[in-house]
Amino acid sequence: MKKRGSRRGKSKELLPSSIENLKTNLQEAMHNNPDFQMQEFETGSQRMLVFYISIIVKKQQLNNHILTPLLEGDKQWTSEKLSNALPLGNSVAQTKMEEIVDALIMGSVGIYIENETELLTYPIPDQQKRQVDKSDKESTVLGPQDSFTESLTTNINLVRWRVNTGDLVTEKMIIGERVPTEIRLMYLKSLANKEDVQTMRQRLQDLVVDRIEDATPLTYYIEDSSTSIFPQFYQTELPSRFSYSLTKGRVGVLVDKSPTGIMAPTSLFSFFESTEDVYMRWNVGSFIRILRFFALIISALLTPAYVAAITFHYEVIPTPLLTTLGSSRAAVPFPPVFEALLLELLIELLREAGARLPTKVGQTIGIVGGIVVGQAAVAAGLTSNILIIVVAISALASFTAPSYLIGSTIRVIRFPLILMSGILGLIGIMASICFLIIHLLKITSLGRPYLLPMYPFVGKDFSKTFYRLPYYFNFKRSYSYKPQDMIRFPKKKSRKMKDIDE
Amino acid sequence: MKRLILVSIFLLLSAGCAPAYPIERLGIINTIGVDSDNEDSQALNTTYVYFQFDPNAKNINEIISSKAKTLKGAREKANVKSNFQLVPGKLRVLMMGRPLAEKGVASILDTLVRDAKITDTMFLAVADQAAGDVLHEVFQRSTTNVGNHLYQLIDTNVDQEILIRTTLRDFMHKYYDIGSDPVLPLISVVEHMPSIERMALFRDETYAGDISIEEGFFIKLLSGRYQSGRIELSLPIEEFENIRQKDTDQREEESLFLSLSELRSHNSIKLVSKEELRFQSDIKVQARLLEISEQLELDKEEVVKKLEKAIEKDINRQINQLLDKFRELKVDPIGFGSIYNAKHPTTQEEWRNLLPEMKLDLNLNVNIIRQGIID
Repeated sequence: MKKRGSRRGKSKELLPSSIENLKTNLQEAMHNNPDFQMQEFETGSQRMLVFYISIIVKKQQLNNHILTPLLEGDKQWTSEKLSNALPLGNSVAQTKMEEIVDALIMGSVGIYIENETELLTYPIPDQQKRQVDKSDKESTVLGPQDSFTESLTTNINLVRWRVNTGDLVTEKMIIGERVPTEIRLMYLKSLANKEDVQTMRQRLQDLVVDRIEDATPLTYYIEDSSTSIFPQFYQTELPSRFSYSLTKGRVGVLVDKSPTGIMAPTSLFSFFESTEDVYMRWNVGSFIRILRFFALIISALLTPAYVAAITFHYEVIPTPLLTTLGSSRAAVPFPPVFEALLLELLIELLREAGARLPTKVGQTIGIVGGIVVGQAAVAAGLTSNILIIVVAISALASFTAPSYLIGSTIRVIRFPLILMSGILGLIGIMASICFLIIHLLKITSLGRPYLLPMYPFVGKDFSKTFYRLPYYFNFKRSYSYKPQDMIRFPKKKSRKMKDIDE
Repeated sequence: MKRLILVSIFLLLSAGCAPAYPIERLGIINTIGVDSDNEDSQALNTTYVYFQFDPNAKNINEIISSKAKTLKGAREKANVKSNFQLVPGKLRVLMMGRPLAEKGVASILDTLVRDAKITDTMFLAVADQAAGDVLHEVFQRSTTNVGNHLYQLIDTNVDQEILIRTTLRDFMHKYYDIGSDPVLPLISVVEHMPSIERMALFRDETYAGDISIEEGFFIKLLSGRYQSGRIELSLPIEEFENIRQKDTDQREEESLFLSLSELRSHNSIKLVSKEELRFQSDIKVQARLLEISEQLELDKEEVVKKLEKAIEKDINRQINQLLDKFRELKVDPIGFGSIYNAKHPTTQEEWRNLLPEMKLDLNLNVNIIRQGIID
């Protein structure tokens, strides 16, 4: 066990004790918390103490299920009798002050009958949580709309409800030295690759940190390469996506107080997959998925290519385009790199302002920034109108990625690319791309290559990553991540059509 | 970290290595006209048509002339007259004046081939007067975009298989090949607009003579293949006198005109006899008959057969006429020499002397596959 803070230093015999003694001890241990309440009762000849932190327990439950049975009809109580009699299941017998305090903080009610050797706590926490809501970060048109909330119990509920099989394992872990947070490691026992599960478990267990802010920062602690700009664990707020990955043999992590589920291992390409592709017909889904890959290339390379062509390689521009490009560039006083960076920066400013402002103001800002500033910039001769189109298309393309994290990664990558293209032209772009590819080849996700199934080459998995095939071809799971059970359904049966019931 | 800093410093320094060509400062040459100078026979008069991106200029085309001993030198001189940097990266057409072409063009084309910035797929053409005059006249008198116009004029006609493809690469290929000579379009100015009126035949690098566009058709028929060509023929009417439907047509004509389109051809030439210098060519032609000046009963098979025979005869006659012309000029645009050379290695001079004795047996097979849709 890990040591947790300085709070739990001394440990002397606490119980049995008198009510007065316990009261002072508790008061001291709770640092005179004004919300800490202790009520003394007398039933028959017994004195008992009921204590709790008033604002994090359910008052109604306390009254109906604890106090009422406790005080009804002058019974003689012992701790044992009490734990059998009260209609709340999970009572815990406590003897140590630290554990009592932990339980109280988690929303338990403590009951102590004078001179008993142990004390009972009943968890009746009153957690404030929002309703399960529609996802707005990863919205889909088809399929389930619900999203994770900040409450771990709700989130587990949502996943368990979807993956309602006994095979689903949820391992509980507590992370955080100063502020402990509950974490659940989830996977399908008979499917998930054991190595993956073990790696994930190990990383979580070995993590020593004072506090984790959210699921996203947690991934930064445990991912393979912290210096990389690429996210190595998939993060989603869609329970449907989370359970989909679990049933594909991946490992999932849910964090209390966070509306984000973490999934691993993952590849670069899975950031461009959406659950919607699965709900679509295979051919439509393929088209949309390939479109997203094109969008990735466009958003990373279109502006740099423009800068390179305008600055260095006028030969590659087709003649009809050359004349329009040239005349729109002629009035601009800046070099093309500077012009492109200026506009890219404008778009990033707009995006950031739109994200920070309230929705209603955000829309206005979008219109003002996009239309008014864009028009004015061209009219003032600060930028060429073709560059506006180029920058707008690449910004638009970067938003097609279903994962917000990878979208922002690409937007950031664009800036060094533009600089390189402005310095060295196409050679600069090529050098940057080579650098990126080498980097991508080097990084891993939970020990598995990041560019699977492209490198190492697993051709059989292409239909799961780059495009999709009709359902009867997908009778096997992905080879790349080596699940324990490869077969999804028998191949022969899938081709049989039952037209007429005989 | 140290390495990273080193790399970035290196990158920043190497930025000076790549010469920048920001398009707003460039005069992008799209057409060059080259002529020999009248007084100084060694000098070249060069005319450049280029795009310039001046926000205040009405026309993005500009024209400039200079005189120098070499093509590169001429560009340097022209640069002095222009406030834009003249660059040849998008050069599409090189037009050579006829006087220059008569002297030989290899030395000019050679520098173009060596220059990596110049595309090998640019078109070459010969002007029937001084090339500079053609460019100047068209530039001043017509509203069209000269550079683009010339390029598109040649390009569309090549695409439609009216012209033989005459890029720099094709020219140099034929020039260096033993026993084959290049052909270029011959451009004249008709009503201030450039127009391809004839085709120029070259003997090696020098202009040897010209033929009409219609005659040019047979060069490709013999040396290449048509995907969708077209030809207009006139046949003597006497042969069709008995099958001609006179009642609908009162006109009296001497010839029967017809037009074949969507013409596909396939051709193979073999050297049959070295001693006699006899070649044999098997040409298969499939075409659609869309226009004919007389009413014939085309749904009858024997009429079509007769028509096909007459077409074969006429094409045969025209090809032989053309070959006579080639023999007389001692040019070989079809490339009989390279077929000969493949079997019996020879030299350019030897072949030139052999050329007039060359004979060709033609096996022409014309097949009219459609006559259009008639209700």
